[in-house]
Amino acid sequence: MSTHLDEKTLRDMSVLAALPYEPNQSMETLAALNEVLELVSALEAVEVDNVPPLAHPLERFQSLTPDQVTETVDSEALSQNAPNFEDGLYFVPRVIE
Amino acid sequence: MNLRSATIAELRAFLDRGDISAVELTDYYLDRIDRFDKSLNTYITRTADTARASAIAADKVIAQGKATSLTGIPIAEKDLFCIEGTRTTAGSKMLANFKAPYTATVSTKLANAGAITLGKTNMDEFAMGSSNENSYFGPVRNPWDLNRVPGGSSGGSAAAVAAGLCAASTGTDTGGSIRQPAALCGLTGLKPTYGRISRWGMIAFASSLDQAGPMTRSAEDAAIMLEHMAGYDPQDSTALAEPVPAYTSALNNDIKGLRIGVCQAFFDTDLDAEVAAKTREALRVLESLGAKLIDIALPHMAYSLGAYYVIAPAECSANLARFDGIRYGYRCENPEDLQDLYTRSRGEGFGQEVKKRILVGTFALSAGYYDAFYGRAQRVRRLIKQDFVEAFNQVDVIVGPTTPTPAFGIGAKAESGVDMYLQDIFTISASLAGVPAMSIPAGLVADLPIGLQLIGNYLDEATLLNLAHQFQQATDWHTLIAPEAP
Amino acid sequence: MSIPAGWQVDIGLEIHAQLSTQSKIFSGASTAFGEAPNSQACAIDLGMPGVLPRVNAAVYEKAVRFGLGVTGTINSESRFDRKNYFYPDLPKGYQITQMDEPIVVGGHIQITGKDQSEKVVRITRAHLEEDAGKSIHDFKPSFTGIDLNRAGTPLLEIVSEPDLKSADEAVAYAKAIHQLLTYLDVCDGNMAEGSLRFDANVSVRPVDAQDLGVRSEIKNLNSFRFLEQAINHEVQRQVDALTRGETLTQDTRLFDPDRLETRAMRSKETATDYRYFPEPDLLPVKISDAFINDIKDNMPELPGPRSVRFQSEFGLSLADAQLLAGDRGLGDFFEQVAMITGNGRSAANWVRGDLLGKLNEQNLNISESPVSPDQMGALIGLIDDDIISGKTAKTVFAALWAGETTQPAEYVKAQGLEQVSDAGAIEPLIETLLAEHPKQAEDLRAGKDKLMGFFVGKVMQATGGKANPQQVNAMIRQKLSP
Repeated sequence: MSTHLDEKTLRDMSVLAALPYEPNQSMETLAALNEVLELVSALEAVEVDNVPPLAHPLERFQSLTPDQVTETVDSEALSQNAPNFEDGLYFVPRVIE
Repeated sequence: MNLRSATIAELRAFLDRGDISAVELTDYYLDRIDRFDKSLNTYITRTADTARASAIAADKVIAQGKATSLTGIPIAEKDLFCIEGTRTTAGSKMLANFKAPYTATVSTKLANAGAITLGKTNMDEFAMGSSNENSYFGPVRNPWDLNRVPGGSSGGSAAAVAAGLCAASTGTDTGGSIRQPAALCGLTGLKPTYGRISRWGMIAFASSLDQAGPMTRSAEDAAIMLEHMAGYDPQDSTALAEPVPAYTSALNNDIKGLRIGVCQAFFDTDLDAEVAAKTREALRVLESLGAKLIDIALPHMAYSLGAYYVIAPAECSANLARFDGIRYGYRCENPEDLQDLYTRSRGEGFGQEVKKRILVGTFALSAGYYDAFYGRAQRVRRLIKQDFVEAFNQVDVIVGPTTPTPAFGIGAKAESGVDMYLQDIFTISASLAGVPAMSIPAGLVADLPIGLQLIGNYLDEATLLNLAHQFQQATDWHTLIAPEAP
Repeated sequence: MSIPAGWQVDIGLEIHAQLSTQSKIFSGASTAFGEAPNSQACAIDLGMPGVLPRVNAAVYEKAVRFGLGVTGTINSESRFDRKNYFYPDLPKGYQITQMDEPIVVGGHIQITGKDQSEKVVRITRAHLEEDAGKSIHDFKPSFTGIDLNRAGTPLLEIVSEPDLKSADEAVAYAKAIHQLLTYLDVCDGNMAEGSLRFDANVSVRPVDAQDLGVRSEIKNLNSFRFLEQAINHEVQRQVDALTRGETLTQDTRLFDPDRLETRAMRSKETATDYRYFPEPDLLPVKISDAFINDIKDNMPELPGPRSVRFQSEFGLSLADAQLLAGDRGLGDFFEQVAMITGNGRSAANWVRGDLLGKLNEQNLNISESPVSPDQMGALIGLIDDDIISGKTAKTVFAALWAGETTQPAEYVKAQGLEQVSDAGAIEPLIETLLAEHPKQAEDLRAGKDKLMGFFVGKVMQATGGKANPQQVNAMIRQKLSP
């Protein structure tokens, strides 16, 4: 099962990734992506039954932090890079639910 | 007093003896940057004013006899580390004007140690690349040959040290991004155990793989930097709590009886014959110092590239979702609606390689494909880790070549897709397993540096640094000067 | 509203409860409500480049307490996952949640419907996650303003099986969960502040159908009333559509309380693939048996069993018992007073009557009551010992509430409020009154009991309200008897 991306999947993935889908570049993009998937297909040869996935390289447990307010928020500093920040709010084009 | 080839250790002596002041030393590097960086393009942002101010402060500390090993030492920092008040770009148009309101833990620690930051170095965009050709700010050139790449993604950090535009630098390594450029530029570069250095303030590419590390002229210098950079940070849940050893005190142990693992599979890949020859020479040097060479197998090494190119893109596809033009970063002009805001800001703000990896990662996590791609890759990752665990039952260090070739031409692999990815074929498995690894200069091939990779057991940076230092006592590859920046 | 004939309804609720911690689940910013926009969103909450989450310990303590309260299984090892989607109120472009290994699995809770019928509702799971920010649509025309203060507030998402068969049952379940969450100090239950929100999954099917129908998810209902209305309208909509021969598709809807209808959400027209994967910036969380057992050992008696005990031990009515047992602080207060006085019924009357009345009037919590259980107990004791009348006691209570005194007995003495129970003082008064009003006395003797109030009233007037009314009553009866 060597998976290859097709046009439709590229469009769907572009939507999920909030990236533009450019039909006149899609051939190039698909070729590039499929080349990576070809590289990845080497993994199909590995026997992985009964091998648990490894999400964190060092298998340790999380330390928990005490419940205390430790941040004084400097909203001016934090919003200094915002393209559209006014009256304490970040603005985006009107969202219709 | 030879400043061009001076290591941190040597500069420390000069500063403490009063042969030169921190201000003079800073000016020395700033002057070299003026002279050489037009052709090398290693710095994205220079912070000359704050550097000089820090140098003045450093001189006071030195005069009081309170200098640390880094006080007054001018360094460069990869532009992936946020520094409050300074532009941090990650080599991308997306963050071309971003000023972080906080400073990375690593940068804070180095500043507290008295190091002087000369500026932020060029890099492949969002740490994705092996040649520094993916930067919004233009490619970096290798000071060994201006028509060749310095490697990536920490290409600017590597070239800056190699060209004498700073005494040392910080880099980051996700699949080889410290080690590979170190090899191609004739430097010592270390990726520590995953979690040894805090990732707070270091812009994320692939969270379970990213690590900061020093890029220096010598193993001793790497030990000095690592002593200051490493350590627990409560702001990073993945940072390790183990105390930081005094790496600089353990460099002079002899390596008699040290068991060095040699993996034949390294030599069976597409490895340049001369690189292979130089690697074997280096192994013979280690043997002559008393180390014992033992054949080991890393049975799943061949799958590390495939696993990496699922896991890293998957994590990056999520890590880069925050770049939406709303709270910071590039925003497209006149967005028509929310969808337009997202897709055009991201489409215009990100470069090709970044968009490509986001799409691969999105696909690898998508419904119906998760098990075959992401799920499978994480299982293979466990097998790769097990290979190392078993190997370190038999040997203390694994040694092999860092890269399959020396530096290649600018543009030679830029459109090559997967061919570029093969640069990291030897470095990637240590990243997947989280074990420490470093590259040290091991010779010249066609007048270009090549590196020897040393891979160690978890939290055993000390053995790596000791071995590297002993090798550097017996050889002088690490002292060579890049010809294009005399 | 009753369910259309021939149809049955299946409802599952997802309840999002904000945990009552000081700081956020993954950062040290404050969770306080109502502050200036974006004044409580730190760099971590804003998803800025290079920031990393850490984990607030208190969320586990609260989640475990809830899990034990519904007799669920606590997973000693749990982990976080990323749920990936783009929305302006989700700064990182993913939500950190628990998908594969949640903190609580299984459990159940008993509900009582409007008709007093009882039912056990199964809980599928409860998991920890972070809340998103808020979108403000009408601040600036053509723009939506984003306030990220709420981003990162800890949530416990409680998912039920589709065991609920009507809006009535759904509301009863929602109320039972609300009570348990506030009782266990897991959530402050403040609906007006959005501490608790409901998503209702609603489907219908013919009465004899085996499989559940196509469901709609109605999101973000923030009151019991809206929950009930939304479900009823959705049920009707689905039944009408199916009756017309339409096919329903699974969708996500919003309830419009002004138009009393649900409508499909534009942004969720196509189902999103959330691409869950383990959160790499956080390690798996392990909680010890000792941690869980410590919480177990300190679990309070829950409202259900406590209500039963109040009835059997103190002789309370069902209604009184349920009310007092339903709030932990109130129940604790009542029980203390009942123990001090040995008079459960009286304690119940005073606590649910005068005390609760004053608390509600001034919008205070029982924990803020200026009258302590000791003081209330002492007051009731004075009544039980016949030192003051019930009427006088209300005056003393008012003084305690206002802080004019903290010692009921001393206050009574100082104000001269003791009941006059000395027969020697009362008897001549009664004799005089009976002599002055012979007709009324005769009528009373003949059986016009209403006139007792007339005479008792006169005695109370003459004694400045301090006579013991029961005693006066008895003495008059005795004087009139042959």
